[in-house]
Amino acid sequence: MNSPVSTRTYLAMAAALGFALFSLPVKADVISINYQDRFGFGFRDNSPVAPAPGNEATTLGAQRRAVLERAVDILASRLDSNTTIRVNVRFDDLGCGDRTILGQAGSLGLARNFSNAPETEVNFPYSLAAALRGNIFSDSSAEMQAAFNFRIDQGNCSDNITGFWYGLDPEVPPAFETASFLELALHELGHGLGFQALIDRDNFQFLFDRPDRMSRFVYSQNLDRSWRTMTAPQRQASSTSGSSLVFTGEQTNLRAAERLLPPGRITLEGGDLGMFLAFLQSTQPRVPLEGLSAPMVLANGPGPGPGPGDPWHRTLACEPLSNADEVAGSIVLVKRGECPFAEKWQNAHDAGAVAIVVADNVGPDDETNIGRDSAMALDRRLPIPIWAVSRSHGNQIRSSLPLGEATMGYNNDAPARGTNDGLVNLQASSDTEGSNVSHFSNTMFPRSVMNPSITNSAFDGGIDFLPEFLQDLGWMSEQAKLAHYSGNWFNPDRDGEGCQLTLDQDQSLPILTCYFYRDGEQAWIIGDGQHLGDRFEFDPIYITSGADFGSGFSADDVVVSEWGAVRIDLIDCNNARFTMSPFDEDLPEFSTHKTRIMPVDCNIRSVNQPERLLSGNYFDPERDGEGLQLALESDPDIWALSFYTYLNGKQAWLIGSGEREGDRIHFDQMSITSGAQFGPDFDSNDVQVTTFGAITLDFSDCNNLEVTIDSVLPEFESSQRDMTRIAPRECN
Amino acid sequence: MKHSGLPRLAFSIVNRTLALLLILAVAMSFAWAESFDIESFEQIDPEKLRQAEDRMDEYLEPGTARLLRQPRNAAERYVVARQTRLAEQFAETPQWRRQADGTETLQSFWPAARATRVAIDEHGRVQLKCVSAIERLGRPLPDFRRPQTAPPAGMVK
Repeated sequence: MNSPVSTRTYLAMAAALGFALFSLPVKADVISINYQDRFGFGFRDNSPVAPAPGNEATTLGAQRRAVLERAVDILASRLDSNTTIRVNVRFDDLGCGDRTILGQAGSLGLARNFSNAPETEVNFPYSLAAALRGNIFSDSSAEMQAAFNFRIDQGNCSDNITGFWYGLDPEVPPAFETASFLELALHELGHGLGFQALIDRDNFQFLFDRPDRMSRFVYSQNLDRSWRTMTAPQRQASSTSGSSLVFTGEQTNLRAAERLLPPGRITLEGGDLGMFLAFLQSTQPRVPLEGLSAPMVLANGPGPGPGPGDPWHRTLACEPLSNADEVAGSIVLVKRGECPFAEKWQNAHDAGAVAIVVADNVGPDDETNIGRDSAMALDRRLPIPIWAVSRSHGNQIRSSLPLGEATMGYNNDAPARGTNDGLVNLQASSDTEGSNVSHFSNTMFPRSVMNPSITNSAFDGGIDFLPEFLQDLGWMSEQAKLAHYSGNWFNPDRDGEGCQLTLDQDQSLPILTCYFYRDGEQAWIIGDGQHLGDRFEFDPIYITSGADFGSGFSADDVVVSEWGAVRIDLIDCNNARFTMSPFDEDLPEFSTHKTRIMPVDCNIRSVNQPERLLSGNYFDPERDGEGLQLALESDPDIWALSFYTYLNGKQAWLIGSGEREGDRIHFDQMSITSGAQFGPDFDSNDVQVTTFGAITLDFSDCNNLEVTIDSVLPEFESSQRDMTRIAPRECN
Repeated sequence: MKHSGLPRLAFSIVNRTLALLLILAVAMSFAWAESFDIESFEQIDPEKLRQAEDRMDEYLEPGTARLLRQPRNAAERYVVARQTRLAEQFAETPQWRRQADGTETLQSFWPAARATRVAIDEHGRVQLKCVSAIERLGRPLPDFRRPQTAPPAGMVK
């Protein structure tokens, strides 16, 4: 007898179930993505592709999803919500040719007078309104929507764009003539989360007869008025008023004050020519605030360009330089044109230059022109700064050569770029009417992911002060879930060293240990620091010495000294750049990207975070100077332990992972290492790993435990002792 | 033959699950129907489509997608359908709804939506600019949903 439901129908249903499960929002998420593409297309495109840097997916759809989900992770790491915000996403035909669109996004609706609204009779985008009131809008399929143009990846859609860049390695910039999908996704999601002025594009009346939330913070310095109190013609005039238009949100401006730089200038020995420069890009390295001084020389090399007799003859630096002896250790001046900036940058670097200055080849001399294609032309990262000057300034500098020292520095008397009277500028140019108000000003430096122009400068996931902007609008910060940063961080290419971070004292006290090597011997540093939104800072962080292991330990033997500082610049809860700045001049400052050893889900609201009650730092008060740091690595029960101690007056650290069973966490394979070097001289092949034995932690409550050390190494005795949390907490 | 309680319960669960799946499948097919139609796209020669897009202003009025002349081939018909659909979406007039708790909501995407557009400057260099999504229709035109004020003085005869 035949089944009443055919196999084909079952398969169709199974496919539908798979699709539905794929699409259903997860209630614990901050942001839930609903992929609307059908199978085989867009985000579900099964075409095989080679892995991209940092993106191991091998189908086009999977690579696209990985990048979009990274963008969501980046935003969700910094934001919290009272409900899950739903985003409909898809690929579509958004057109090619003169009107090529890479992507589009926005809120799917507006709400006002909802519960928890911070003000009444004001229009809020659905996403923010839902986040505040703790409930989605059931009359809509989602709170926001984004679409991307699949034809970009087919090539031949637009001149000079061959496809999207799906790489996720923050050290590898997008290939030439590609557009960073991560930067685009962050930008579009930023609009959907609230960075969009809800005004009528024709007459500057507020959309739907009420002011919008963002307008509360839009202010004209010229008129000394908020948008809320202006007439529509005044709003229209202010929208093209240049640096007069500012955003007044407090958190945005605090972040802008510490981040934005004043204009750069080059000072030639013997006189300040007052040359204000447009920086090309916001990727590293930057010229330090105190400036960079070196002789300045003119590039000289083969290749096309101005002919003999032209003062810029042989200065394009499109091929390896002929005067490397002269360039080495100098700032090299090159002429713009004929080849991408990246090639000039590379040739200057290869010749040993400490910096490169590119003189423009066309006018006008304003910085908008100078920065016209900026970071899009940089497809690599090199360790020397690259700046540009206008055509006339370039001519002045060239005519002054040869000269002695030149200094690349900043005009500290000028306001930070993209600010006016201490407040950050919104875009307000008569040249960019379609972009005005709903973006930060293009004049700011470093650039923002919410500038009107996408430049690939945020390919590394840097979102500057977009989170602060959204928090000013009313989005909750990540403060209630800071512990999602806790755990072990390492660089897979530098296996054998790392750092462990915990958030003690109700997540308000970050404690960091970093374990590394010096001259083949173990070293560890420890300190408490502060969370500053986009980063953690531990300054100073301490190093110890002098004690012994086990019964030979005496707290009186421990010598504590300041080691230096560690800064963690966060990308999301799994990715960050660690910069270690030792005070010891024999050790170099060293910066490296690290990831969590066991990545966690960054897109979880604070109320759904895993229980990390036992995470933290413990010590024996009678043995001050040694201790252990414990962090939940993977929900539910994978834990990492670092035990920092001594042997014969030198530092020693043990590390391992274990599983929790009730009140016990057992680490059956603790390891001790040796053999490598600090910073740039580290080689993971030098690391020798030795089995130490086991450590068992038996908790009597969340603040107190008994530690049992079972060592298999004769120089480390086995022992048992009680420990207590350094910063006790409420256990309930 | 009587079913025992457990299989009957299982049968009931299976039926309910199938029903739910069918509802979901219908709902999802709705979502598909609203989105891009790859079959139509794939029937168009890519070169002809690019040519049709390049001369779009010949047969579609920028800003409104009103037909200026009949499309002459499949590629032009495809572009007309795409742009017309877009113009219809832009022209929708959303309505506020008031909920029992006093919350007022309005489903509206296009008036404030943003789009990132590829622009080529006078030197042939690419610029990626975020603009109002309305620019997908070409040059922005006045918002015809609103009552028009008096025409500019120069147009009064």
